[in-house]
Amino acid sequence: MDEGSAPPGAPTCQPAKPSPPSTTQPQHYYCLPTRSNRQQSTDLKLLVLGCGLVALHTWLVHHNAGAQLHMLHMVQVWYPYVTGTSVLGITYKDGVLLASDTLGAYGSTKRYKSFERLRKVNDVCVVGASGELSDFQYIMRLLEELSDDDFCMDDGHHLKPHEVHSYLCRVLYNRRNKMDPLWNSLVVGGFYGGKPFLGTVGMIGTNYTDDHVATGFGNHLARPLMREKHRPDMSEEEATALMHDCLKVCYYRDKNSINKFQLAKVTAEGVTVSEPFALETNWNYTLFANPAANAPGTW
Amino acid sequence: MAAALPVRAQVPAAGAEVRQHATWSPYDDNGGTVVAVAGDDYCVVAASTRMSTGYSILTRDKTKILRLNPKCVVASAGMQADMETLHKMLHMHHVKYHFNHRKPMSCPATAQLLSNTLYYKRFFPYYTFNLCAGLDEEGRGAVYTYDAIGSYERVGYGCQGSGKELIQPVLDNQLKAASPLVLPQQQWLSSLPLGRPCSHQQTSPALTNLQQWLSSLPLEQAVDLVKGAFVSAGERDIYTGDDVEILVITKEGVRTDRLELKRD
Repeated sequence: MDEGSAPPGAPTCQPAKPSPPSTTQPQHYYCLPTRSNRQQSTDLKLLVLGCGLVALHTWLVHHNAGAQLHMLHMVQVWYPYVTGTSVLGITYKDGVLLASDTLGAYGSTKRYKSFERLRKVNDVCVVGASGELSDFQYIMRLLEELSDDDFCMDDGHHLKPHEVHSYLCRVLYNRRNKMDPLWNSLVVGGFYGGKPFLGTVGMIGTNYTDDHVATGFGNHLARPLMREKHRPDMSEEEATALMHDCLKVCYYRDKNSINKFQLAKVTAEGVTVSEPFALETNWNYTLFANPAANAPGTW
Repeated sequence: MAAALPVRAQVPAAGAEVRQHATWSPYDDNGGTVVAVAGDDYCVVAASTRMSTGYSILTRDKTKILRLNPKCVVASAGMQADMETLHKMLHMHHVKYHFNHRKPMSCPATAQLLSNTLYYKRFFPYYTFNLCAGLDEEGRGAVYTYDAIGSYERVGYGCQGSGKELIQPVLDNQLKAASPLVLPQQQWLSSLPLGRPCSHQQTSPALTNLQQWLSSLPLEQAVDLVKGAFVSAGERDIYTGDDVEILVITKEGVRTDRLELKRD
C-alpha cells in the first residue's frame, strides 16, 4: 500500500452534503432510511420502557424492597436444559454436507426425538446446532429477521454464507461478553460464488472454517475419520458415504444420540434438508459384545 | 415412600464438589506461538497455524497474524475469539487513521494503539498475548512485546504464546541478550537506533553500542533461527504444530514463507 493512498474499502468520494438546517433528526450517512425509522421507533420503545422502570423503581423503594431491586441488576446465568449433540459438516466437489441426529435430550432423557437441528437460512446457506435448543430457536429467529429484511428489500441480495457465519460469531461472542452465553456450538454450511463454505462457532465465540468440521463429541469421534478420508474433490456419493460412516461412529459411541438423522446439502442448485432416516447398525462386533477381550484385568 | 433413586451422580469424589451442571468460562486457551526478530533493515514475524482446545485440535490452518500495512503487523496467541475481536478493532482503527491522515499508521503508533486497546479492557481483558512488529519510521526493524493488559516494551526480538518457555531462552542465547541481572550490563540486540532514543522511551545503558549487533545478524540467519526455534517447539509443545507462517518485512514489502511442522 502506498503512502497517501486510500485505505481498503474507503469510499471514493465524500458523503453527501451536510443536512439542511431545517432537519432536526440526525443524519445517518451510512444508514438506509428504513433503518433510521426503525431506530426512532426503538427509541420510543426505550422511552416507554424507561418510564416503566422508573415506576417500578418508585414502587420498589416505597415497598422497602431493596433486595429485589438488587436482583434486577444481577446477571442471569442459564444452564442448558434441552440439548442436541454433535453436528458434522464436510465440503465436497460441488457443495457442502451437514448432518446431525434429530434428538433433543433433557439431560440424558431422550425427550424430543424429531427436533430438526439443521435449518435453512436462505438459498445458499444452512445452519446446524448442538447445545441448548431453545437458544438455537432464538438464534434462528434472529437469522429469519435478517432474511425477512433481505426479502422485503426485494433487490435480490441475500446474506452470503461467510456473512451468516461472521454474524453468528459476533452474536455468540457478544453474549459471552455479557456473561449470558447462548449455549450452542453452531455449524454454518453454504455454497456461494462456486465455492463451498464451512465454518463453526462455539458458545464463547471461538470460530474457524475448515474443509470438515464437527461440534462436541463429533470432534473426537468423527473428525479423525474425516481427516483420514476427506478430499476436497470428493463426489457427492463419496461424501455421503463418509458422512454415513461418521454418523454411525457417533451413534455407536455417543450415549446422547439416536439413530434418526438428517442430512442437509447445499450446492449451486440450492439447499435441501433430507427427511429423517436411519442407518443400518451392527452391534455384534466382538468388542461390543466383550469390550474387555483385549484388556485383561478390566471388566 | 421415596423411591430408591440412583444416587451415583450425587456422590462426590473424595475432596471434590458435586458438579451439578455444566459450567462455563468466558475464556479458553487456543494455544499457538508467535515469534518476531528485528534486524537492521528487516523484521521477521512468524506464527504457528494450529488452533486447539484442551487436547483437541480444532483446525490446522488459522492465521494468527493481522497484516495492517506493509510496514506493520500484529501477531497474537491466546484465545481465538478475543484475538479476532482485537484484530478487528485494530483494523478498524487503522482504516479510520488512514481516512484521517491519508497514510498508513506507523509501527510505533500501532504499538501504542495496541497497548491502549488492551488496557481499555483492563477489567475484562482480552486473553491474548501479542507482538507488534514491522519497520519503524527510520526503516529499522521493530518488535514490541505485550502482556494481556497492555504493558509493552520495544525489544530486538520477542516470543509469545504456548511455546514461549521453549523458544525465548533459545533466542536469548542465540541473539546474545545477557540477563539484565548480569553486571556490568551487557549489550542487547535491539533495534533501537543508536543515539536516537524513541521519543517516549529512555535509552538505557543496556541498549547502547548495539549497531554492530544489528548488522551482525543477516536476514537469512534470522529466518533460519526462527524456523529452527519452531521446529524444536513443535517437538515438545502440543499446541505448536501443523504449519508456520513466516513474514519477512523489508522496505520492498512483505514476503510470505511457509514451514511445515509435524502434524501430531
